[in-house]
Parts: sequence; structure tokens; C-alpha cells
Amino acid sequence: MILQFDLNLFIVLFRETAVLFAIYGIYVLSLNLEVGYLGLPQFGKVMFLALGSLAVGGITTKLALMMYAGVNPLSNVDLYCSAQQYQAVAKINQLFAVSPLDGLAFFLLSLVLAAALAGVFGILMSGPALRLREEYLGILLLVSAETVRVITTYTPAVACGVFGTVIPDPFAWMGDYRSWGYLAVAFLFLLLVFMVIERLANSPFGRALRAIRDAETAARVFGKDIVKFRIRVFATASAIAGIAGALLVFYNNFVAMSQFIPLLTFVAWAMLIIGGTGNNVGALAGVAIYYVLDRVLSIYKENIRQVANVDPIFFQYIIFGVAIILVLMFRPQGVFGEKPSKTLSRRILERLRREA
Amino acid sequence: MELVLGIDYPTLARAIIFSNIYILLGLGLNLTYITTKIPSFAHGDLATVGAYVSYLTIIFLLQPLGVAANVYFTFPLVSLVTGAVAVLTYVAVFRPMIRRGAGITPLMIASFGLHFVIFAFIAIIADYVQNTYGVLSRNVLLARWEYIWPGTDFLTSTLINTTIMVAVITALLYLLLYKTRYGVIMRASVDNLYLARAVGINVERVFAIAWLLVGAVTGIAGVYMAMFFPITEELGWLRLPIIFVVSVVGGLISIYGAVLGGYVVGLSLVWGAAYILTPLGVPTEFQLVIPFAFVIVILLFAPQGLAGIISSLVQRGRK
Repeated sequence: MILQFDLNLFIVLFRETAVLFAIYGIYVLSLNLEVGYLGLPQFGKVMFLALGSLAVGGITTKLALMMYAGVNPLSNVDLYCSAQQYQAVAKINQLFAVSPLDGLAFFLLSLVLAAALAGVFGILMSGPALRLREEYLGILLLVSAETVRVITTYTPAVACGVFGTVIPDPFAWMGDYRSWGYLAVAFLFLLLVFMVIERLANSPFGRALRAIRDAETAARVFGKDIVKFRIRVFATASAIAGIAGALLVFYNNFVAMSQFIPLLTFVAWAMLIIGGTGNNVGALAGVAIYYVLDRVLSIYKENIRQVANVDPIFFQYIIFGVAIILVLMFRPQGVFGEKPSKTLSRRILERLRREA
Repeated sequence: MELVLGIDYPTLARAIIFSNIYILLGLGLNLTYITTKIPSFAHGDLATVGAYVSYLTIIFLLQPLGVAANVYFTFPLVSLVTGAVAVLTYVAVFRPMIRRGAGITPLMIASFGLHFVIFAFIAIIADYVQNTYGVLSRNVLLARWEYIWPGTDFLTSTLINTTIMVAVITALLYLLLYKTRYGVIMRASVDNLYLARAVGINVERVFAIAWLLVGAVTGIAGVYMAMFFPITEELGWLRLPIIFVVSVVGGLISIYGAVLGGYVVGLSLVWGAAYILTPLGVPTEFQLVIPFAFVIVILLFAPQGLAGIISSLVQRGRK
């Protein structure tokens, strides 16, 4: 069977994949800060993605409803979730369609809140991180993430529970160009986050993190306050993951808290391990490899089904599982290994020394 | 007193059955932890393997032969196949990685990669069986093939059977570890790896046998799981956080910690839902939060688990 090449379809596929690449890129970059630079067993990453989404679906959406649509979703949660929410949100979308400023304000407020909520939770989780051994910390984070998911999913007042909640579209004013516009927004944030994390990693702060990861006692001897570093990293990485969660919600304009299963944590780990821990370009490469493989397999889905008569998605799982194991065994640094951190070039250093 | 008298039999029976199942699952995980130093993310999938081996054996082997099928006929095969899968994961993935000096986090991530592989293999087999032979391969309950003691119903029989199974397996493990030469060697290898190696013990072979036990016990637990939860490729994976909780609450380093942890988690899960959540009008889905809260408290204040607390109390008492 020859694959019929449809340019328009291909462009749409590319665009949607690129948006997801940008959002997951931010998510995996934040994981890299914790795993690659500080060596934390962060098995509860999805918790912060969930909290970012929760800030949008549970808090700012309610604020917008009260301000613009005059609806208080909390007065009758069941009625709102099962019937009212679609019309109420449509009303807000009409307003955003003519008033970009309101939309942008809503968008930015949501992101700030998402980052704040996830960041504060990150600081809370850094408490146990200081005292527990690796495997226990991993389990604690995993279980905490599950607790957050169960509580938020089965409390309808948070984000309409199992129904899921519809989110107003802050980019309704873009009209037909919404998809492209959102792609630009997502990439803007990816660039921003990449620059911030790259900057952090190559600063004295980043070098201290690597020192703590590789030789904690030695780092302590040199006067690095390990507690402070861990709290900062947890807060920063969680806040960034919260932003990724908010961006994910605005991409779908919908959120159901039940989607934040542990699998999302491990998919991010898979991307990071394959791409390369401790290297931000590697982290993004891992995300790209994942999505390229995912889309190529989904294009040839029907062909595979004709040969093997099983759902092709499972071959993808096997490929990724084997890839993770092989990378860990034979190339633990990933496709792109960790690079020595950048310092000032020798010429500048010598000039500074002469001046000093 | 009212609370104790108010407990009805089905709830109590279910609580104990679930506890027994969690004990078997936790026993396997603790053995994994003792030998490999990691809680494996692929542990739930071993249980799924056991459940599917049992189901497919009944469908393709016992029923065509006209045997009055029940799951206990499949147990030898279940233990063998799941044990073989577990040994294979140890030999093919964990042992080479440990030899290369991999740390705990890489090993845990590798076990997650293993989860992907085993999970997908099970799913592919299930798809293949369904598409080729037209046999229903998902959302079946194995309860149909439980052995029913004369004069009792399914719940009572399962209560009796799982309790016997836990007693037998823990007794066998005890005999194996404390009364045989292999047990001495194994405990020596766990206590001091380098010394054991120095006196000529093939530590890796000892651990490979331990993984065979892990697989066998977990596979049997999987069969019981599939009597209460519909059998799918996600059967074990979905309950993995609970298995972790059982092991951590009991204490990862002690084999019998799992017994303690299993009862704490199983009883609190079912009773908590029936006697705390329902009267308060909280949805029963919240029952998962109870063991999770337990484990968070345990990890924050006593990471050695209940078994560790008890043994340190005993030691203090001796002094």
C-alpha cells in the first residue's frame, strides 16, 4: 500500500506535534533540572503538571466565570459541570474574541498562578527530599502524585471531577489563526524556559548542583548549603512544570484531572534518558525522538495491523522499553551526553586576572 | 464497641482476602528489594503474567481436555512461567546493569522500561489470542474457576484459600531461608555481598534463584487479583502504588514486613471505605488516599517500616 501524501493533513499533523513537542519540552527540561543536574529520583513529576492544570481549571476559570459570565460554579457544582459549563464558557469566549487584552490578562494570570501553586508544592515536597534515601524518596513522590490525582479527580468542586472542565480560550481573538498562534506562544515559552535553565545550569549555581550530585560530602566541605540548593531546585523545576501543565490545558481548552496518571511521569523520564540527562539539548532531542517515532508509527498503523493483527501502539511500548534499557546499559549518558559546564573563555579569564 | 459489632461478614471477608493478596504481592517486592536493592516498577506486570498464564492454560489446555477446570491446576505452570520471566528480567537487565555499577535510580528506570516491554508483550498476546482464536481475552474474572469448598460460597472459599496460600508460602519461605543450606547462603549474600563472594559463593546464581521465587509468588498473587479485578494488561500496573505502600509500610528490608504491611493496608482500605468514608458521605474512590496517607507518614517518620519499628522495640526490650 502506497501512503497517500496529503500536504494539508501533513501540515496539521506537524503543527499539532510541534505544539506538544514544545509543551513536553518544557516539562522534560524541568525534569532535567532535577534529575540531570541534582540527581533527584523525581518519580512524582506528573503531580506538578497536574497542579499547573489545576490552577487553570480549578481557580482562574472560576474567577473568569464569576467576572465575565456572572456564573458561580461553586453554587451548584453538579448542575454546572453537567450542563452549564459549555454555554458559560462559550459566553466568555465571545468576549475574548473581541477583547484580546482580557484574554491575555486571563492567560498570564493563569500561568502565574500555575507556576506559584506548583512551586509552593515543590517547596513542600523538598522537605522529605532532604531526609529520605533515593528509593524511598522515589516511592514517596510517586505516591504523593497518586494522592493528588485521586483527591483532585474525585472532588467535583476542584475541576468538575470525572466530567472534566472546559477552559475559556484566551486566544479566541486569533480566529482562524488560533492554532498557529498557539504554536508560536508555546515555542516562545519553550525558548524562554530553555534559556533560563541553560543559564542556570552554566552559572555557579548549576556547577554547585553538579558538585552536590557527584560528591555531596565534598560539596558540603566547600561550604555549599545542600538544603538550600535542593529547595531552590525543587521550587524552580516544579514552577516550570506547572507552566507546562497550564500550557497543556490551554492547548486542549479542557482538563480532566484523571488524565494525570503516573505514566506521564515515566514518559518524561523515557524522553530524558534517551536524549541525555544533564544536557538540555539532549532533553529536547529526547522529546523530538519520542514524537517522531510516535508519529511515524501512527502513520503506518494500518500497515502494521495488516501484518500482525494486533494494536500497533504496543509495538511502540516495546520499542521504548527496549530503548530505555539499552540506553541505560550501553550509553547511560544518553544520545547527547553531559557536557562540561561552560565557563568564561581563557582569554577573558586572563584579562580579568590581569585587571585584578 | 458498636463499630466492632457493626462489621458485616462480606466486608470483613473482602478485607482479609485483599490483605492476603497484597501480602503475596508485597512478599515478592520485598524479595526483589533485598536482592537487587530496588523496588521494581515491573513487579505489577509479573502478577499480570501470572493471571494470563492461568487464564490461557484453563482455556487452551484444561477445557479442551474436559477437566473440571480450577485455578489450582494451573498453579505449577503459573509459578514456572512467571518465575522464568522474573529470572529472565534479572539475568538480562538487572544483573548486567549491576555489574556495570548502575545506581539505584537508573535501575528503577530500567525496571520501568521492563514494565513497558512486559506490559506490551501481554497486550500483544491478548490481542493475538482474541483476534485469532476468538477467545475473550480482556475483562474476564477468574473467580469462575476458584475452588469452592463444599457448603460454602465464593467469598468464604477464597478467604480460606488465600489464607492457606499465605500461610503455606510464608512457612515455605521461612523453611527455605532459615532451615536449608540455600537459605544460609542467601542470607549471607544479602548481609555481606563481598564477604559472601570472598568465601566462594556464586552470589549472582543465588539471587537468580531468589528471582525465581519472586516470580512464582507474584504470579500466584496475580491469579487471585484477577478474581476481583477484571483481567487486562493493566491488572498489575494499576495497583503498583498499593504494592509499594504495602512493602514500605511493612518495611522493605524484611520479608515478613510484607505480611504486616499487607494486613494494615488491606484492612484499612476496605474498612476505611466502609466505616469512615461512607458514613461521612465521601466517595469510596477516596479509599486509596488512606494507605497513601499511611505511607507518607511512615516515610516521613520511620522509613524502616513497621517491621523495623518492632525489631528495634524488641532490641530495646532485651537490653
